[in-house]
Amino acid sequence: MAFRTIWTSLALAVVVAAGAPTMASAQGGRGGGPPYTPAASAKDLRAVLFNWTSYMGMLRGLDEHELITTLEYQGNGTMQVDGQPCTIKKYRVSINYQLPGQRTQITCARAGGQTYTNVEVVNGQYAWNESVPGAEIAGTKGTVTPMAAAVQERLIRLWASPQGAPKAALWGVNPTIEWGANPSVGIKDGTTTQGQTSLTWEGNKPVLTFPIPGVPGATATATLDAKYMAERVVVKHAGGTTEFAYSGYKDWNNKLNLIDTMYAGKITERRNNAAVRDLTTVETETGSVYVVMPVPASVKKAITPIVPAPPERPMPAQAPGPGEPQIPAQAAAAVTPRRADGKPDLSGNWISGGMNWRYGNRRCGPTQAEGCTPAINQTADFEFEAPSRFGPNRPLYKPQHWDKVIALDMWTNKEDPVMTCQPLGIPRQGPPRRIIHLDNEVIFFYGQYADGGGGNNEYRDIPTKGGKHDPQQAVESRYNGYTIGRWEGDTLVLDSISFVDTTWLARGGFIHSSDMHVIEKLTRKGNEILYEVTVEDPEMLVEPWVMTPKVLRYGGAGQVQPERNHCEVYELNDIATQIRH
Amino acid sequence: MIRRIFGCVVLCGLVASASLQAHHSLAGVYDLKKEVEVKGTLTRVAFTNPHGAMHITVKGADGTPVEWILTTGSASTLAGLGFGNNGPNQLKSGDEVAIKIFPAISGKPLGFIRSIVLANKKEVQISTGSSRD
Repeated sequence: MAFRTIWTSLALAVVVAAGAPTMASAQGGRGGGPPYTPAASAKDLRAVLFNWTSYMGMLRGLDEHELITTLEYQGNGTMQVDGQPCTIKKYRVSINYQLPGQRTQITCARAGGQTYTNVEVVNGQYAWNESVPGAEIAGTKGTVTPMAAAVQERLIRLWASPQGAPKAALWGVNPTIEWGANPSVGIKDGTTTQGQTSLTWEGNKPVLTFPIPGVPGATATATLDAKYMAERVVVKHAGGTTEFAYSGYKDWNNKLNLIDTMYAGKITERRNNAAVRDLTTVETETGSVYVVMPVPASVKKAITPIVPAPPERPMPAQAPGPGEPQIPAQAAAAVTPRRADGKPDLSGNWISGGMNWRYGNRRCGPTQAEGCTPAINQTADFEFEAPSRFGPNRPLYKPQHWDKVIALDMWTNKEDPVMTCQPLGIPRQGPPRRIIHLDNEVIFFYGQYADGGGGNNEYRDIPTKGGKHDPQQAVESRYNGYTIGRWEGDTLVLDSISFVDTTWLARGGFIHSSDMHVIEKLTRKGNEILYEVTVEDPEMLVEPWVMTPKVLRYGGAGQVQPERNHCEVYELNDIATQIRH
Repeated sequence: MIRRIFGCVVLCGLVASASLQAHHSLAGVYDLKKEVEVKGTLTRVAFTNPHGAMHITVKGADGTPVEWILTTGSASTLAGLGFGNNGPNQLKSGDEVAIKIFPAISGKPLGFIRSIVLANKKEVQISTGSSRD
């Protein structure tokens, strides 16, 4: 979101996108083999970090990007409350590694029979307890207790976790590498130390040492087993030692969504040799479901961060998604063509990138289940690859919608309106592929395969004379809303209301209400249009969703657009698993 | 691009172009570890998006006809492979064909097409297993 309106960085991103094939070949090659394969005998840091993430099932898509962004965990067992054991009835952890944040919902029975409940949350340098998830956010009832003293303990628990530890070790190598980078990128062959992460061997076991992000002075030492999974992570901080032991690794997801992402089945945590938590895994959900934890205003007021926010990590360059046109490799330096009224002429074909990752038949990982084929991997990897699922820019829903969004996403093959051939609607349809610019109107044409698949050839005819929405016209709901355009300097602003409430904002179960208000801005500069979208929906969202802007490139004079195809879906009633698109 | 591949079905993995795969996850409906061949008469050929489909009537062991609905790539993908109401791999109702499919997990007469043996005995691979097709 830092690059919200910055032309230069966007222009740069497109230049990088134009070189995407080259970048991909640096990671192994567009059309080439897998990005990196350590030699069987390799004992260097690069090989171990790659193997750790590979064996854990974290690498997805043809370029084996590290795409585990969020995680849901449920377990049972025992934990210490006020120095006494408490038998767990509910233990649900929701993790978002990008924030980084973690919410743990706990219900347990004390020795005396009383029930203890708590919701522990950490997000960056803020920690708090909630009486209910999302308390105090957007008027949600319940109480919030700031827990300044718990920030470091909770961050340690997050970054020492089975999936968190390899991410922290990679962060130690390079804290500003782009999101999702393959773990072999930027690490020299043959070295055992890079950045703040180092490697030694204890017999046949790799031992990695790295800092805990966001906790000054905390150092983790992770001992990996024969399958490159952490069996022990010891964190030393402020004179104390917290030891995490992990075993029983397997894919703990619901059997409807087995995607070969590994997690520990047994988790114990001991601080200075005393038991803290002893957990047995019941189920995980590793497929990038919606996890957020906005910091309540009262917590922001009560806690002063001791560590500045980490530097922003860049997103990978935009690249065409499946079926989407290639992005022309041209600069934006051309003179902006103008119409007789002096406004930039928006006419022409416009091409933009969509998906960030490269689809394909990914090779089977070393711990994938029997029967794995590259073709099955291609279909299983979809749930990680939608940019809207990957984030980090996600719409912030009010707490009462969080679990609904997760449920819709888990059953997306049934619930996604694409599955009933409905138009994607704005904003999911993305930017127009062709614009016809007339004196007092613009006509937009849209193509198939927007949002990484789905969508039809659609059009919008939008008046650009400004003015207010006509109340009578606003009564009827539309897929693309009722839009009025106006010029603000060189920017065409499109103001849309009166939406149906059946479309999604993007993949990931991102619903909206019929009161949604969408503002699109198109600013042509040279041979590029900056396309910015803000979604306001106070009924559903805590704050407007400022979508990550896109740069559209001029693709020549108007090309005749095909009509909408016939659309029919045959399998809707036969969706049998939660492996999703 | 027309592929004439004989007997490579075992080696050839999944599915035409990435564009069709993007629509929904095939693994959500079909068992990608199984292969079934159905033989019968085409009763409907639908060149539709997001997936084309063929209805094929197959005679069961007791002679009862069963209609299978077999989905495949999008109309655009199929056109690229020469399938259409016209084209080198013309398909029309009444054709006798054999189709290799991934069957639906649900056990219903539903599948995703891997390859087709046309009425003229030509076998056309639809799922080649390469994302770069």
